Amino acid sequence: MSSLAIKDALRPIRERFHQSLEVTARDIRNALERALETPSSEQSEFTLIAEKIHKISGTAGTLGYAELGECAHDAEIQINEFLKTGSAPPKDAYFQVLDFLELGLSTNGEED
Amino acid sequence: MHILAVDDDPIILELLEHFIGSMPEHELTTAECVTDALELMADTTARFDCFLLDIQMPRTDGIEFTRILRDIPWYRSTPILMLTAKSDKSYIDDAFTAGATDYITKPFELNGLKARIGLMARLTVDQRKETNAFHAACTLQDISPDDIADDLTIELHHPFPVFDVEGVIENHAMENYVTQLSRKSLCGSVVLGFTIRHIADLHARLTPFDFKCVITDVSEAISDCLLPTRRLVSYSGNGTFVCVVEGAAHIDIERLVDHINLYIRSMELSTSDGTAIDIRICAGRINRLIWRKGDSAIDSLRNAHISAEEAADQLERNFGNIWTVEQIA
Repeated sequence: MSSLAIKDALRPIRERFHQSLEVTARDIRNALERALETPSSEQSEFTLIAEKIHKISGTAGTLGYAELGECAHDAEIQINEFLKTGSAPPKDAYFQVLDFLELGLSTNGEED
Repeated sequence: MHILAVDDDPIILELLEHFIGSMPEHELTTAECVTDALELMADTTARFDCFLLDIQMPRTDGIEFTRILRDIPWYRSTPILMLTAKSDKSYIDDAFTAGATDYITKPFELNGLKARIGLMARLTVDQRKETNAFHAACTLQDISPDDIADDLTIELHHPFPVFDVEGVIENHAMENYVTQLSRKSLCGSVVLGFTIRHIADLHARLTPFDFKCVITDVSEAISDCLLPTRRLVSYSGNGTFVCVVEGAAHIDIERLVDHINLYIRSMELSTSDGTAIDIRICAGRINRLIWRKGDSAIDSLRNAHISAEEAADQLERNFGNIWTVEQIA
């Protein structure tokens, strides 16, 4: 399969990915707000966020959004570190997720 | 090749449908979770030749599903390719220990995936040839598959899979394992080769069934004796095993060999007719995997294999020269 043919085949899938990204971003933002409002729910909310970001980190790069994929991967590492040890300051995890959301929403169907 | 892909991400499944759909030689079935996959597999008319599995999925994950598949006789050798965003060494170790054949990390290049699926297809063709030869032999001799399975000829130099031994994986899976690990992950790991002494004599003397049993028992002894370190062992043919051992900075190889030989002796191995078999192994040089990657890491497996067999040859030569060695002081 030539790279042009691959690109053509990917176009509709990339569009659906971008649509799903908006839904994912909304879910993540809601989870972040709940974590901020109720610190005791931080672990469960960040577990949910990590699962959503993990999915994006694998798919984004494959579809040509390398920067978004890397950002998601970094955020996932940061959150998993926090979930595993509880030692990392949660604000770092918040910032990582916010960076990821910002980048995700600015990705308007164009490859990196 | 009929492929079953299991991934909870519909975008990835859609991507695979488009991509594999463009390859007329393959057929793809998809499932979004292991429960759905098992339902599809319950229909025994739809046998799968290859699996593409995500690791992180709700409820049963891809590694657990690999274990389930390896417990199903029909699928114990079927290629399983992990397709996952999990790149930590612990996941790679767990996947190969569970029985994965190959491992691709997301994001992946579609043409790279095509090449790996091509390799899996070749593996499947080889397995089909063996299965067909096996069924032909059953028909010719008019006996049941169970009676003949253990009497098919085993080539001495041909690696064969060892089943149901913890930490022991297939030879081609071992090559994929060391290729997959990054330089950083391999740093601190070593490759060791062990070989059964006088293997050609044993091979000539034993029935294929007894030979298989010896290889299985020795692989179990090696795998157990390498504990508690993280290890993977594979049988690479000619009575030789290669092992990747993690975090073993200082190995007293002579003590390890003694330990394995004592372990084997305690197993009191015998042939099907009850004749005792005396099995001893020896080891080659330690190969450190620092800064090795890809082909170079595969070379280290080959070097470990050769080194173990050279050690066995050297032992026999020394034994032959025992009365001619010069006296020192």
